Amino acid sequence: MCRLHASRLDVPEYDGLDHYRVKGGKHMDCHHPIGPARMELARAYVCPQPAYAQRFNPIEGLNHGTIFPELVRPYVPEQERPECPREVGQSCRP
Amino acid sequence: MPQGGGTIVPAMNCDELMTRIQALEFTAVDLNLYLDTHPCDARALADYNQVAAALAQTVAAYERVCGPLANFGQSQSCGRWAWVEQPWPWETHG
Repeated sequence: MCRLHASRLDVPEYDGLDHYRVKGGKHMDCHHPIGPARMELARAYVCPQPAYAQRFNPIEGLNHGTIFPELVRPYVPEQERPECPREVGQSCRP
Repeated sequence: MPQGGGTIVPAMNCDELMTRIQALEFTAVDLNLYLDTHPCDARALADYNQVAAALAQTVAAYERVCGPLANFGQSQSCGRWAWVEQPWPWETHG
């Protein structure tokens, strides 16, 4: 993927599989300025986790959804989140 | 670092044993995932092995008193065929 640069006049066509193609059958450049091919590739990563230090006991881990205290991310429905001060130009709920 | 993952199964009723099994299985899965990216972490590996042993003992204690947890040859059914007598997931109170 993303090996060949195409002319700005070439309109990418989705081939129904995994590629956008330009005339001549060459793969589209990911940063081509025309159409959906401007989208960046998705990137997956594993965030570095701190060294193994402590964990919850099994019951606490089951209740928290993780055995690692540093990874606890309780879900709070949006309508239940506390309001925070709104300032001009800033989003209240990131 | 036992933290509730010890290998001695205390006296529990069937619901309590099932809750303990679920908690130990969750801990084992989370440790499994951690070890996938940290295969050289000796402390995590020791914890995983301890939890796996505690899980096996707890499953054995459950099946001895409450009945088989798996079929198709994965668990024995002592005295009579008790597989269909086990509670469905929505019938447990753990």
